[in-house]
Amino acid sequence: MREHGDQDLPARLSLDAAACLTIRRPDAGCEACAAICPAQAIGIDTRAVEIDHDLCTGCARCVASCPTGALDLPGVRPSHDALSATLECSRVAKADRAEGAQIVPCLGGVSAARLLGLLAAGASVTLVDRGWCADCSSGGCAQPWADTVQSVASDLAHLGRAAGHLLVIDAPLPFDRAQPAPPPSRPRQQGYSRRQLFRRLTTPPPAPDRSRVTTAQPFAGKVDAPALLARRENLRTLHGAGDLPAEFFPALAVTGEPDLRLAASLCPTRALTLYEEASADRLVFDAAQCLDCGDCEVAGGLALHRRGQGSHTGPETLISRAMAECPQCLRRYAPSEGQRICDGCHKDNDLAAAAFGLMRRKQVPYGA
Amino acid sequence: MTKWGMVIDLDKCTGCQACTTACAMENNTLPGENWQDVLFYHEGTYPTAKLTWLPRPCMQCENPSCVTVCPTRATYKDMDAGGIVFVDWNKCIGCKYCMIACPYGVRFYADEQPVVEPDVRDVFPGEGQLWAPPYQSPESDARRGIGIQPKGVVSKCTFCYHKVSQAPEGVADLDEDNPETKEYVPACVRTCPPKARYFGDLDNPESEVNRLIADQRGVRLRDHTGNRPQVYYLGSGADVPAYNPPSDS
Repeated sequence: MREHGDQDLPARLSLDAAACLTIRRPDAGCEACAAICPAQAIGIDTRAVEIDHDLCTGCARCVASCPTGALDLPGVRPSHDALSATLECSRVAKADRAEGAQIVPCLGGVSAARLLGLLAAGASVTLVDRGWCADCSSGGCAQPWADTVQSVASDLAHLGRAAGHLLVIDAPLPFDRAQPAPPPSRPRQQGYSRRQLFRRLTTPPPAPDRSRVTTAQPFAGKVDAPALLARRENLRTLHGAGDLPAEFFPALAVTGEPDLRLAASLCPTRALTLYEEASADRLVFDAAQCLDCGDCEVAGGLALHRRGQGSHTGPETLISRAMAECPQCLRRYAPSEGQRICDGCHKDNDLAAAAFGLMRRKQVPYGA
Repeated sequence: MTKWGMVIDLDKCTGCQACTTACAMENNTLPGENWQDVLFYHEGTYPTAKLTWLPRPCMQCENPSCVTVCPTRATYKDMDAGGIVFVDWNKCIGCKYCMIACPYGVRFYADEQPVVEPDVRDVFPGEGQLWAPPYQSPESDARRGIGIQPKGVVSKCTFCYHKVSQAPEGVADLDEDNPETKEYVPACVRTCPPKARYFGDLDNPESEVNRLIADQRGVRLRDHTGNRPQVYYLGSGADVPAYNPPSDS
C-alpha cells in the first residue's frame, strides 16, 4: 500500500496465471502487457510473466491491454453505485478536480470491461482529458484511452445506445499544475556494483515452474477469459431482454471438414471445445470467448469472421460428427456411410480375404 | 548374399496364436502391439459362415512401400542383414506415414492400438519408456528397432534379427529341428506347434524354403502392389468347413 496523491492506491498488480496467455499458451506470443508498460516493469519469459513490483507505478495500463483480463489492480475499480461516474487522472491536483470525480491512476488504465461494467450498472461515464497525457510518463501518447473508449463506444452503437453515456471531456490544464508522476518505489538500476555483478554470475537464475507442462500435453492449458465473459454479461445487461446480436463477437464458419481435435486444442481459450459423446463428437463454439486469433483455421475447413450475423444465444454446436465403436477392435472411429468396422480392421479383413481368395484359386498343375 | 524368407503353410496352421505369444515375449512388444498376429476372418452368415485365419508377420518386402514414404529415412531395408526392413528409433518421428503405406498393416504405434485392459498409457504414465516388462530381453539396438519401444516411434517385426544374425555364414535353412541352427530360428518359427512355418535363405537354391515355394506353388500376398514380400504362403484355402444342414429326405 503506497500513499499516492491523497488516495490510497494499492499498487500491487496481481496476475491470474490461469487466464494468462503467455503462461498457458506461449505459442500465442502475447506480449501486450510488457509492450505497453511505461515503466518496463513486466518481463516476458517462456511460460512466465515477471512483474517487478518495485518498478511498477500502478498505472494499470497493462490491465487495460490484457486481452483475457488476467491482470488486475484491485484499487482502481471505480465504484458502481454512482449514477454518473466522472473519472479523473490521479495527477490532477485536488483543487482542479471535477466535483465528485473518481480517481484512477491513469485514464489509459481503465479497461473496456470496467467501462462496460459501469455502463451496465446504469451509470454514464465521463473521462476528463486534461491534455497532458503525451507529456506524462504513464501516458506516453495524446489519448492513451482511445482504443478502449472506441471499442466500448462501438459496442454502445451496436446496442443502439446513445453515445452520450460515454463521454470524453476536454478540460486542458497546464502541465505545470499536474502533481508529480507516481514514482517507482525503487529507481531503475543502470548498472551493477561489483558485488552485485559477482552475485548475479554465481547464483543461477530461478527456473520458471514448468512442472505442470509436459511435452505430451503442450496444449493442455486452456486460458480463462474473465474479461471476455464479463463483456458478454455486461452487454446482456445493457441489451436487456432478448438475444444479443451476434455482431458483437467473432463468428466461425465451417467451410470443409476440419480436424475437430486439432481445432479444439489449438484454440487458446474455451471458445472451441470438443465433447466426445458415445455416438458423436461435437465441436462447440462459444463466440464470446473467441480472441479472434485465427489459430483454429490451421485445422482446415474453418473460416473466422470478425463479426457474426444473427443472434448470439451462447455456446453452439458447430460440427457434430458421428462416431462409432469398432466391433472388432473396440476403438472409436468416424464411420462413413454404411461402414461397420474401422479402417484398420477393414484393412486386416481385406488382407485375409485376399489371401484365401488366392489360395482357393484353381491350382494350375505343376509344369503346365 | 543372404535373403531371409519365411514360408507359412496355411493348411497346417491351427490359429493357436503361439507365434503371437512367443513374439511378444521374445521382443518385449508393448501390450496390444502384436508384431506378429493371427487374423481371424469370417465370411458368409449363419448357418453357412466360414472361419479362416491368417498368420501375419512383417513381409520384409523386397520393394517396401514403407521405406519409400518415410520422410526421415528412419525405416530402411538392410541388404547386409538378409534384406530385413528395420526402423531406426533414433530417427523415427512417429508421423505414421509408413503405417498408411504398408499394405499388410504390420507397423505399430502405441497410440493407434486398441485399448487393451489395463490401458498401458494409464498404467505406465510419463515420458520415455512406455512400460517395464517383467522379463526384458537383453538385446537392445535402437538403430534396428530392437529392445523396448520408446514413446512416439513406430515399431515392427525384425525377423528376430538378434537371433538370425548369429547364424553361421552361408546356412541354407534355419530349422528348429536341427540342433545346429535351432538357437538362431525366429521365435514364431521355433515355437509353431504344427510346424507350419519355415525359415531360410531365398537366395540359396538348395534351401528348403525355395523347394517348398517351387513344389507347393507358394504365393505372395498383394503382389499387385509391387512390394514383392519375402514371406510366402502355402495352402489350398482350407478352412473350418461350412455347416451343411441335413437334408429332409
